[in-house]
Amino acid sequence: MSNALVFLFLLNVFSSAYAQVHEDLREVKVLGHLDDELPLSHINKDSIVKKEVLSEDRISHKNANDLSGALDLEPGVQTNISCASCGSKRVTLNGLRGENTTVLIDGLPAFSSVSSFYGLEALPLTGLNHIEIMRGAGASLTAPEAIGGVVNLVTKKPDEKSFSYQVKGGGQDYLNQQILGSYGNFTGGTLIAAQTNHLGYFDEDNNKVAESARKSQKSFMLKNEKRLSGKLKYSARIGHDELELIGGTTEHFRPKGEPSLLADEDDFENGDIRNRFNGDKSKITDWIRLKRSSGAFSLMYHLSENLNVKASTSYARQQQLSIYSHGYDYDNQDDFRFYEVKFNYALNEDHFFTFGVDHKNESMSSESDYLYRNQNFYRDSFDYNTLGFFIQDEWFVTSKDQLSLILRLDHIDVKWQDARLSNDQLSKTAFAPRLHYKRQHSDTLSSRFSLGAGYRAPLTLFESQHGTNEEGFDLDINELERAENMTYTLNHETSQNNSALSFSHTILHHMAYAEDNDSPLLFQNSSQSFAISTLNLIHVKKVTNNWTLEFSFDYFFMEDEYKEKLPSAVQESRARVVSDYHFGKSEVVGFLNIIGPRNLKKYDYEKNYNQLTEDSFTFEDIPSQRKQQYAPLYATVDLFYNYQFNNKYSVIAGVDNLFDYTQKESPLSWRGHGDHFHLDNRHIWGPLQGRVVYTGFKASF
Amino acid sequence: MKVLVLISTILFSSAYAQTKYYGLTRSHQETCSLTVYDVGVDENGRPYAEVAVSASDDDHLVSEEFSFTVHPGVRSDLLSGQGTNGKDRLNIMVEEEDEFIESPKAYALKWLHGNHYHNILCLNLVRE
Repeated sequence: MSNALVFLFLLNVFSSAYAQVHEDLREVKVLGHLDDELPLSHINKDSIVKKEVLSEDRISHKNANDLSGALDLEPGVQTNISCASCGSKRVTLNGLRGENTTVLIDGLPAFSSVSSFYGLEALPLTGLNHIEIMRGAGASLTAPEAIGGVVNLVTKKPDEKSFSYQVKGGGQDYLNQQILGSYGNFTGGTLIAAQTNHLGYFDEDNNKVAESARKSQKSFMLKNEKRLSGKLKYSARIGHDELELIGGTTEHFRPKGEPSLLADEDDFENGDIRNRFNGDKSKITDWIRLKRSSGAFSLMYHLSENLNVKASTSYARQQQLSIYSHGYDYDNQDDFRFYEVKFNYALNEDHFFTFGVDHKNESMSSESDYLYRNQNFYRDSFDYNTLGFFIQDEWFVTSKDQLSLILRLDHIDVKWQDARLSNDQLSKTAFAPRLHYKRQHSDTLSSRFSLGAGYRAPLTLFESQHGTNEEGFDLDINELERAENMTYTLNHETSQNNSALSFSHTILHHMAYAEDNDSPLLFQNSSQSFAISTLNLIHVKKVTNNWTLEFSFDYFFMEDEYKEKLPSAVQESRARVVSDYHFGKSEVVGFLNIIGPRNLKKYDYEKNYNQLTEDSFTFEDIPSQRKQQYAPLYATVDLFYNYQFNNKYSVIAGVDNLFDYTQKESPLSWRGHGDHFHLDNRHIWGPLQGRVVYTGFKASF
Repeated sequence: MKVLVLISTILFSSAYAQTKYYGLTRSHQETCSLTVYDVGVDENGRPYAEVAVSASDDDHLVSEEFSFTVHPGVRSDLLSGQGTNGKDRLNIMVEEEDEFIESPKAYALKWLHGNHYHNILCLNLVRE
């Protein structure tokens, strides 16, 4: 870390001497939309690919402190809590699963399929300029595995001299501090961002088992970028994030890691999970610690007026230490590296080509005293390599028609390290074409149509189930997950209104899943293909110069066979109203989120019970009091207030979940598994966190 | 009194011949067995039996015997015992008018496997 800091400092000093003040206009031309200014509206109107943008203000208004909080309830986006105790949240796009979402930082892959499990929770939002969401398979040139789509975190440019400090605090031990410093000018500079964040547990039903984990996180990011000459510029970034999640227990307790028994009916009064837990705390406690170091470096050089080349690399090392309530320890280290060389070539006024090659390498190694040494279960360690070639032609067919054709070829090798697995390797070559077409019908009306394919090597095996099966897992993955996607968007934009109607249809083949009743769990490819569709409508209206209203509606169509393979119930229909009102030096933002009803039986929740007793002869579990199988329509309200004293100081206040709406019933259940029942914490259909009132202060210089 | 109990225990146990019963597991219809090594009356005047049961179960490939000392249980048709680890448990179902463990009908075993339990139900026991 210290070597990297010295390197960045020297590079900055060196580059300052050679910095040139002249902007090469051709660079902007060749780069096309990459350097576009962002419009006020939600939809980036100039991009061929439909791209939704979350501004820094929107992130602040949502009081989001992590990526899942920032993205939740945005069109087509869901944050799924797959495990209440371990605090794992996954960001899903277009109804696909969390592992089908690819997260990029400044356009470069930064998260592997393993690190996306808890790594997204560790990611700070301080230092981000905005977040781009591009939905649909193969939405990114560099991320064919983004079957659901891509989330690109765009960091701020260090192009000014500024410093800001913000602190927010409130109920449930909420405390968030953010420091952001920038030293630079239009040729580049250095950016420093740091964040600490803490939020306590929630135990809404007071049964001494928390529904939402206690979370502590701290992060640091240093970015340096500079234009060394009219032809050369570089960008470098390093970051370090730490995260601790303690779920289940409501006490300040960290398990020692000695294997414990699973919780049973004797641990709750009358064997009912709605009653007070009176067993050993280690039976319900999940303790996850994460350390993540990451970095990226890119160098862009203009070879000629019409050709530039960009060489980039990114890396991330994530170390996870975890002790789960299932009574075992599980640690892993995930090393991820990415290399890319990309050329941008303007053939003429109408054709802009991008072509290049990239290589990904991921190596995950896991350890567990209990699982591997004591029980001799199979390991989930693996090596993953891809080599990809891509070419894209952005063709301005007419002044109203724009076409982008992408061809991508990848060779993918996965080698799982445990030779005892039924199938320990996967080697495939995959071809993914994609077409984007944009038609400008008039000054205000445009259509976008995308058709394409994506694929993903299913790697998130053991940890994505985090060992819920007491017999471990086996693996029989023979195919890549593949998806074809079609998306159509109609966008109408005026100075006062911005509307978008979007329909997306994905067919997912060879979905990797584990049958819940298998023991050990067998991860396999589904022989069935699934159709998943999403309909979104968003309308942003500038009611007055001071007041903006936003209405949105989402509907997700999923087959029942697909729903039952999801880790927890998703939102199928929802609507949202956002009001942003400025008066004087004040700004008030309100969010009304309405989630439609659902039949929870479709998500395999019929196996979940509240009470368990034991047969006096057979010792067999006798379940009773089946948990709620219907999720009602519900609404939540969030409020944000900002008062700007002057251009330096402001105060913030807000309420998350104003009416303290939670799903009330505990996510805990006695879940049937083969011939027995075990304590599970995935009966999730609504908010698990209650009201949080907060206030804060921000100083900017 | 204690002397009488002790004498009867010694006489009874020394006279008891090992008896084995076979049945089928309910889950997989596999052969399961109950072996009665000894019966007697303990120093508190309670009848007991020293038994061993098989835990063969094709899910987990365990083929070992679990030993228990069983006593009359909470129900008149059950003999119950706890394993030496304090976790494993055994119930033997007998005829209510049975002479202690003359004709066991079935047994249920709950045994600790790592951090969780497995149940085995052995039915239709027949004397060897």
